[in-house]
Amino acid sequence: MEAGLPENVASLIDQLAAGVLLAVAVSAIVRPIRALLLFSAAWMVAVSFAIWTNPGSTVDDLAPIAHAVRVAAPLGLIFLLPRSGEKLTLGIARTSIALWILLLGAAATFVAHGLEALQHYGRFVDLIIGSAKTWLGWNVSQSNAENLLTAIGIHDLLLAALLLLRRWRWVAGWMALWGFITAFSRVTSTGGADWHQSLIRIANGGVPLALFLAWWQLVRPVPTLFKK
Amino acid sequence: MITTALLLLATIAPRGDAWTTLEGTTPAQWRLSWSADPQHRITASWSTREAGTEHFVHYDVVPRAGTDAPYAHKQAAQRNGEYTLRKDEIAILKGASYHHARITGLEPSTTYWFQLESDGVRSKEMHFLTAPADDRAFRMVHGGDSRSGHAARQQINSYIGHLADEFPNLITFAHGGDYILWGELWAHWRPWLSHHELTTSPRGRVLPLIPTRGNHDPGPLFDEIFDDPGEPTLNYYTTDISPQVSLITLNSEISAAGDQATWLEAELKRLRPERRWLMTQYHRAIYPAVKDPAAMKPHWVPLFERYDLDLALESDGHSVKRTVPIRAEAQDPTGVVYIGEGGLGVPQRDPKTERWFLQEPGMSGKAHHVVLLKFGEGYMNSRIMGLPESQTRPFFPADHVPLIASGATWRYLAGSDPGGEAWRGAGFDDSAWKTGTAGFGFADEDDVTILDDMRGEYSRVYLRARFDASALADLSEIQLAVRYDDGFVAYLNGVEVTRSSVGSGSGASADGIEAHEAKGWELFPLGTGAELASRLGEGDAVLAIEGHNKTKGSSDFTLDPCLVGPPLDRAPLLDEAVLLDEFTLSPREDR
Repeated sequence: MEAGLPENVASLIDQLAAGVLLAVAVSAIVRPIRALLLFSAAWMVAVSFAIWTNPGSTVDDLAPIAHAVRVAAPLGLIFLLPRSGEKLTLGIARTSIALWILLLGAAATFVAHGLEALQHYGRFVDLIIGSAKTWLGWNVSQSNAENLLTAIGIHDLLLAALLLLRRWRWVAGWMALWGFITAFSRVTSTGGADWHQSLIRIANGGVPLALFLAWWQLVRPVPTLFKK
Repeated sequence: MITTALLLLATIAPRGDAWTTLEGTTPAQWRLSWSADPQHRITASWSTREAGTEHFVHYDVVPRAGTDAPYAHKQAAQRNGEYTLRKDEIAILKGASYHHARITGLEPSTTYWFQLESDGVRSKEMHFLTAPADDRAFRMVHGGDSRSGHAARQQINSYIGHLADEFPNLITFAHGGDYILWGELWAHWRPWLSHHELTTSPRGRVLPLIPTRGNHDPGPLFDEIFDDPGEPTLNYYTTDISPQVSLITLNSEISAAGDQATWLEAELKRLRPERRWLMTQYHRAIYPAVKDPAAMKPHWVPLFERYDLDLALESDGHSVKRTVPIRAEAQDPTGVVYIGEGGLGVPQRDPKTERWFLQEPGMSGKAHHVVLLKFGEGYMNSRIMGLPESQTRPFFPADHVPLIASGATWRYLAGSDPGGEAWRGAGFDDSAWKTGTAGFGFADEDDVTILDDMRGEYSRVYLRARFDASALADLSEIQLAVRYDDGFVAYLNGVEVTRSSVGSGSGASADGIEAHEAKGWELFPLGTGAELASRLGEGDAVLAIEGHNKTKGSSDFTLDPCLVGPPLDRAPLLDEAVLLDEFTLSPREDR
């Protein structure tokens, strides 16, 4: 509706997109389809730019890079899919492009989250306070949560830089673990009511995990495209 | 056209509720606000276009009623400053300033008459009523979300102003946030502030605001406009409206679980034993009619329920709702009632009527509305008052007094620049220009005079139209209404009066042109008719407009202006308002 569409039209578009995205999820597991994956990536780009151009929160100016991992996941998968008649074993070039996309997506999202953490974004403060209370019974003060966020912000930016510059396998592994932890903090801070918010953010850990596994499998931690 | 306008003028009464033009050091965009101790304190705030040097509020318990007699009290504004502007606003808006005079030592339940003064220029005389220090009955009004739907915003503001005259014991207006589209832009606050003047009653009563920060109100301007309600950036605070009624204003845009939750618990614990009625207001809805529950829910609801909050005033959803009383996620007569949620102008959304907490005796719907609360000794009464659709329809030129009507004939120059600035003035000979019917443009099928040679060839079009300035004097408000893509600069008799999507400069040297789609009529207030009449003088005046496309290669262009006065048909709002919901609550000890 903010884009000038009547509410019923906007709602219909939203519902249609939700239906297609569910199909993407099923097909990605059973039999990935390029067109569906491309739609998924395009939808995420559209959503992030819609948020960016119609902000409703102080961190929305970071939306395009915060959503990068959700765009990268389906795009990367497109490059990993064999074309019809092609053997399952892919050429090094396409694998490299896929890994390159995943790497950039993961790094961008970590940069965005790092910057949000350094701003002591209120929602992040509450995730820490809520999770500590729910799971550990600890009462974390706001100032301690903010100090922790400063450390987390530096940590996220450092991980993004290391991933881009060094491309160490274990950095990707740690990012995967941290990505899953932060995604599931939506559940742990509220006791489960926000499970869907965690699911939306599953790529925060999933994409670094894909990088970790790919680099593990390839033995060489450096995508071919980056080799000098 | 002019004859028609004059005939129409003879048959209508002027509105008399227009806002003050922001120019020079004329006090404009006034608002009063309450935070703590509204029995004895109030902040009077206003804007001036230029910074000025001396700013005062004069006040007394008796009116001056147009005489020159001095007021008993005079308070200098303690806080003055220029509004924080974004880089692209500086060229146009630099110098616009806020002034806050914090008045203390007031008497409870007392009407004070006041005038604002900046560098010797005074506002009209207005008045306000302080909060009671005893248990007498009073009313307050609550509403939120005035960020879009400017025509409806003006209507509902006007309605609030009429309510203030209708109910002498209506003493405050709690705003639930999302005043404007984006709080970091003073270009967005500027019309809101002007429109807020319409909440001043026809008899000159101003309702003090108790402001809440919404998700569309980030940045320093909120604090510059409302003088740091609570504390700067935190903006959570308690207003003890009477010895028996407290309103806790919370901020849903910062951490809900941290210091704010600690403070909230302390306030609830302190106030509950002392107050018959305990309320809170915040922006994002916890029991929403439209969206998902707000993130503060797990942190605030247990406190609301532990300390027996009576009423939570919510916004953000752009709909109307009252929940059943809720405790532990179930209907419970001892629970909290959540009411709202945002109808001060924003287009309304369809509520999710199937949600359990909206079932009877709860309700939901869609309408521009306010919540009118009355606190008596043995009850609290809530009435949700909606404006009929006819009162809040989007702006339509034919509903207004036409000065230059929609679809009028204009002189226009396309494909070249006029050179110099003379073309903007009344004396310019435009007989060599073409004539065409508004709007002008190409593509999108929304234009009448089609400029099919424009794309790739030129990016600017110049328009001129004459109107009778003597028709202005009796009109309360004049607005330029434009559908435009991408930008324009408008001049009245050679003087720039407004611009949009053009950062700086004019004509061929215009810079900072931003993309903008012509989605509908957009309104640009130009001031009262009397102000414009004194500036333009008698006889013909000229409205000149230059339209800009962002680039020559832009895929479409539209410039469709008209100049209008106040609405032609303005039914009495109070008589037409619709009672959408009413419920009465007994004090907790009687439930």
